[in-house]
Amino acid sequence: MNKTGAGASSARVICYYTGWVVIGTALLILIPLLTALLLREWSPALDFLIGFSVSVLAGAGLLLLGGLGRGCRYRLQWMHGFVIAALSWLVLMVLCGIPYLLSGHTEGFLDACFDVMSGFTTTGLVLTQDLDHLSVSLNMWRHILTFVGGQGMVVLALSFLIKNTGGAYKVYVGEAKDVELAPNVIGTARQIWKISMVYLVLGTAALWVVGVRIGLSPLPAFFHALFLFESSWSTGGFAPNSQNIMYYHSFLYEIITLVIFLLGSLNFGLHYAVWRKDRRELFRNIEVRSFLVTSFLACAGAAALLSASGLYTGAVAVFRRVVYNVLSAHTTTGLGSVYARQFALEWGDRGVLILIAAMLIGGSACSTAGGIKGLRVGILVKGMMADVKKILSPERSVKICKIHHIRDIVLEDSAVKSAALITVLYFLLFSAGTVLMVFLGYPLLDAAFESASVSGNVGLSIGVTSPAMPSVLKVWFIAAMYLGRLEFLSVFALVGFVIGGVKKKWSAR
Amino acid sequence: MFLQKNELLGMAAELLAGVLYTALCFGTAALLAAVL
Repeated sequence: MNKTGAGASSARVICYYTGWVVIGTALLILIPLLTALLLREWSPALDFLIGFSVSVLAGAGLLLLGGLGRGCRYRLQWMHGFVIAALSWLVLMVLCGIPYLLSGHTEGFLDACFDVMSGFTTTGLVLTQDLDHLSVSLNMWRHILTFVGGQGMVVLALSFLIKNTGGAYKVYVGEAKDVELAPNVIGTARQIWKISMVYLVLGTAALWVVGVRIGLSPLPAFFHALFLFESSWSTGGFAPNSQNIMYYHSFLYEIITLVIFLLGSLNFGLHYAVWRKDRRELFRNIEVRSFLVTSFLACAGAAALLSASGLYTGAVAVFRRVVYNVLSAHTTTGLGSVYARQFALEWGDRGVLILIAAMLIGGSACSTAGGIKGLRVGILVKGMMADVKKILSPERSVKICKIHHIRDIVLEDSAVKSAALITVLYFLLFSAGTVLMVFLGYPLLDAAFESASVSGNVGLSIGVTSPAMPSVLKVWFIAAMYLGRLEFLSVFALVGFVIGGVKKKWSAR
Repeated sequence: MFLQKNELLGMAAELLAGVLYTALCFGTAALLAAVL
């Protein structure tokens, strides 16, 4: 058996770290629990108390399995980091779904797991029913999950709960966030949280002021502002009501959430560079340039199409109904300013195709956004241009292609290969989901739209996602959100680890 | 102080960039709505 650190097996190391992640997330349940107690929501308080107790017990059990006392001497290897990240998300999906299930707002545990995974992956698709009558504490829980999921919850728990964080960077990469802002993972996690917290205060305050102005009472306005900030910043797409952003009937509310999710979809490395001093990075970064080009083309294309068709007339209508949705799709946020079926019935094939393309491209790497990511699109375009230049140049000349991402980087074949591999995997995931839905009887365009939304962790729906959809599709959506968010490799590592373990047990018999 | 001057300026630059891009999109939408 693979030995690591103090003579521990890989399984023990994985249990030990996953245990701490579970304990860390269990502590988060205290926030909605406290909210429930303060607002005298006694029944939800009991749900959260049960969820907290089960999570702490599960975490303690994993820590005991991992050899609690020896844990600080374990040395994390790359394989452990990937498996811990992938396993933690699955364990947490089940544990965090307990308050959902006990609330009575989901049809069953599968629906509860779906909504938790949708939150963690910052997707934003919802199976929870009667959203308009949810308790404030359950809404708090939904939006905390999406906020923490966007920041990288596994590394958050590890970097704040355990002293030995030397190998935590490997878990960080496993969670599809391979940015190093500071020399160590604690420093990086703290920088990310500092940036997010500053924007949280600013964004919540701005939305609260507008909320009060449009007629909400101060306390509900605060909760709406907090929830919408968390949802926008993490490019999640949840809202505390069934009508999503349309509930507010406010242009200003839409503008503020739009700016928040635009900034939320940027790479944390970029935020850090700009906050340190390098303001020009905002215009030089390949990822920002890629996003600006593709999102502007998508916005202009959709606006031209839907203006010409006469569906929306006037600058404000076109901006609020078209540009907002296209940018929400491109940043993989999923806040929607039209009803789901309007996409199918009013936008037409060409409008829906633009949204599908935007959803698949997605936001920035190492951000809260999903999708193929602007960085990979930029690398693929640059790689293709470099190859064309090489063909057109004299045979003896050597061409070096550079990209600018925080610093100047020589574009090597390995980077292009890696970007192409993940892009192909995204397309396979998108295609498989589309084929499955078509075979289940959904129209092709609806299937492609919903599949792009799920694979890219967007959250816009064309009407397929509902509690009445087949269970097999719910399971597929959970898997697709999970694969898309962790960018495949961690999940493959987990599957390989499990299969390897089963094979060893089998051959030892 | 929780935020240093550099960080405040960086945040202001990001917010300005976000607002300017939103304005650009609004301008484009307005132009297209008027022309088409």
